[in-house]
Amino acid sequence: MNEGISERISIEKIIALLQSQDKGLVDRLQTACNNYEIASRRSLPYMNDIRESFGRINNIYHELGMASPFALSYADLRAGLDARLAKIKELEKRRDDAHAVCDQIEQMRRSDPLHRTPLDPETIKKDEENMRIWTETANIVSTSWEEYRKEEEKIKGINEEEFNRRCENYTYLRELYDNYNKNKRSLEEIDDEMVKYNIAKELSGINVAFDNVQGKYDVMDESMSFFKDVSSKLGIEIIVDGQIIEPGKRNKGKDIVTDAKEPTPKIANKVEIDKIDQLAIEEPVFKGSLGKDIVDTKDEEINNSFKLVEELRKLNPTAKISFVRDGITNNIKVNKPINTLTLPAGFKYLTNEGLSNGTLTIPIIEEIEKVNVNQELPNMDKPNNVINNSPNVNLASKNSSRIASNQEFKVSKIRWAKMVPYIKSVITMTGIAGMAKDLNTDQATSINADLSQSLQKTYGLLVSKNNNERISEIENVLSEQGSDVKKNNDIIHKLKNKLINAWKVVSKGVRTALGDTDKPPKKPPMTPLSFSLAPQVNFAGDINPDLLPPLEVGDASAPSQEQWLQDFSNEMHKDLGR
Amino acid sequence: MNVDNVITLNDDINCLLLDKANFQGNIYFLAVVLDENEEPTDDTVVLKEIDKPDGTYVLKEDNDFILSQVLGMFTKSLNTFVNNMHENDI
Repeated sequence: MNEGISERISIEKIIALLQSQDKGLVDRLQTACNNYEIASRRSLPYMNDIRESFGRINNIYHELGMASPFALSYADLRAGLDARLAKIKELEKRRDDAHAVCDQIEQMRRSDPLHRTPLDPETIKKDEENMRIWTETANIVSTSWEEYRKEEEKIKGINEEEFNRRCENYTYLRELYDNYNKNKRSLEEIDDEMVKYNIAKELSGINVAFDNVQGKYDVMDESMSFFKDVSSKLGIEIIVDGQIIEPGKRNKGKDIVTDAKEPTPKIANKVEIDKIDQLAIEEPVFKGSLGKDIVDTKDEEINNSFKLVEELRKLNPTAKISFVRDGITNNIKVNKPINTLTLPAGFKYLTNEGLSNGTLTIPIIEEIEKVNVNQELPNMDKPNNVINNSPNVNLASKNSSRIASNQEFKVSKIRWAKMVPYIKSVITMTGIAGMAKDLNTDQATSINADLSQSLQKTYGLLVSKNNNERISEIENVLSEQGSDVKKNNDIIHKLKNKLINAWKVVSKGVRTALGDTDKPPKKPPMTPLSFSLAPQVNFAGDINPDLLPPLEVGDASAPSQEQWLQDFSNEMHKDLGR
Repeated sequence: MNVDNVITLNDDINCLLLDKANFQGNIYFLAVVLDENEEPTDDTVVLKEIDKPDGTYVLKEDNDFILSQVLGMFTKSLNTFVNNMHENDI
């Protein structure tokens, strides 16, 4: 590139540019772009969930006549100030009323200076009580006005537009959450246990969503670091998603970027990687039903991770070689030192990069021995343990745990595990279902009813048209390995079985709560049912409606719950026989 | 301790932490016990985290009231998790 020329080049152009120089780098750049875009996109629903949960907590406080704890916009700040003013006015009225009563009693005293008619004990008590209220409220009013004026001053100094932008920001929302947790005074003022429980539930959901957003941001940071490396390597300034990455700075992730809206120095070479949304290149890898990353392949040459793994397996039949997904990047995991493996022609091992033939570069994870209880604590920053699951069909029971009750266990080691989301969801829901069946409370009914939604959604995803197509793609890719296809199907079937069992437990739990374990409920559900592989159903009956998820408007011709369960099982079994 | 950690208890039992909840100032984890092959078993428990000067301890929660409350939280959290799941996550 020529010195002195300032220009912005599209991503397509930079890729074309790099293709002529380093194809491996182009592949990784494309992957990093994809990773960044996917992580950015997937963080949004969680951020929305967080804001919605904050909003619901605000509403709870509002309904209780209390100040909303979370300012989610400038309007909220103003509303908070107005609410504070209204509270002060209310206190002032209380103070003035008490003052008036005291004045009135004082007048009575003055009208009888010789105490010929002493005040009756009730009036004296009333006087004392109002004197106390007057003094107390006067102090509170004084402090409240002071706080109000400070807050008013603070809000005056805030730019509305800037603040509204800040409210969309992860850091700000996290601060709100942390501050609320530090000072739970307002929560303690609530007497209603159910309200407290609902708030705690929202907070727990927010906590999980924050963790998820953080995970996505970590992936974005990782991509940014890579862009930075590319920027330094090529000596160019790169613009990604409106942020400028300058060559030469060694900061990590988000720290290395500057606001693109700020004036930037004119430099010789500037490459723009913009319109990342349009860059949503077809993902080079997809995840198979076993949680493995399977690479689509059409050419005979080794041009993707899958072919490379296949070739490695052929050349090293005694080694265990598999795919591992780190974030949304592919790695190859081997159980032998890489220098002992026979590599395919043209491939060599590059330290810190992995296996590469110049065109394709795949990071390698060496896992020499299987992780066991005696193993050293692995590096927490480098997760490398993948939980490979073959779920059983039985559900947990409270009484058969290896972990004894009333005994404290010391945590001797902590490692990171990685799981495919749907496997995690199946394990979680079957675990909850197993524990909830031991509870005999309304709450258990509520848990089961809520759980049914997750069950249906997961099952729906598992057997969705798209997934079936994906399974068929995997079958095509693995056409030469019939046993793997069979294993795939076996696992899918086991998962389906596990879901059916969980469903039965959940359904039985709800029916038990309805007081009828063997017969259909007297009131059939009024929810329209459809077997579009993700059936929607809610329960109605004599349970506390407040504990149930909102019911949809139903169809009187809908089948009974038991019929639905039967159909659901039949539908599943039909799929099992696929 | 965090969600998606595998914790080893008394150098003997491995548990995978599936979810976390705060309730009444305590931290609870939904955990599944792993077998010797590091695969999840049917043994699911709710563990209460206890911080001590010499390290972190966990106690299996058996109180029905607390269990019902935190399981409700875990269920809600699971619904959020599942609702955010895409076909690509399968």
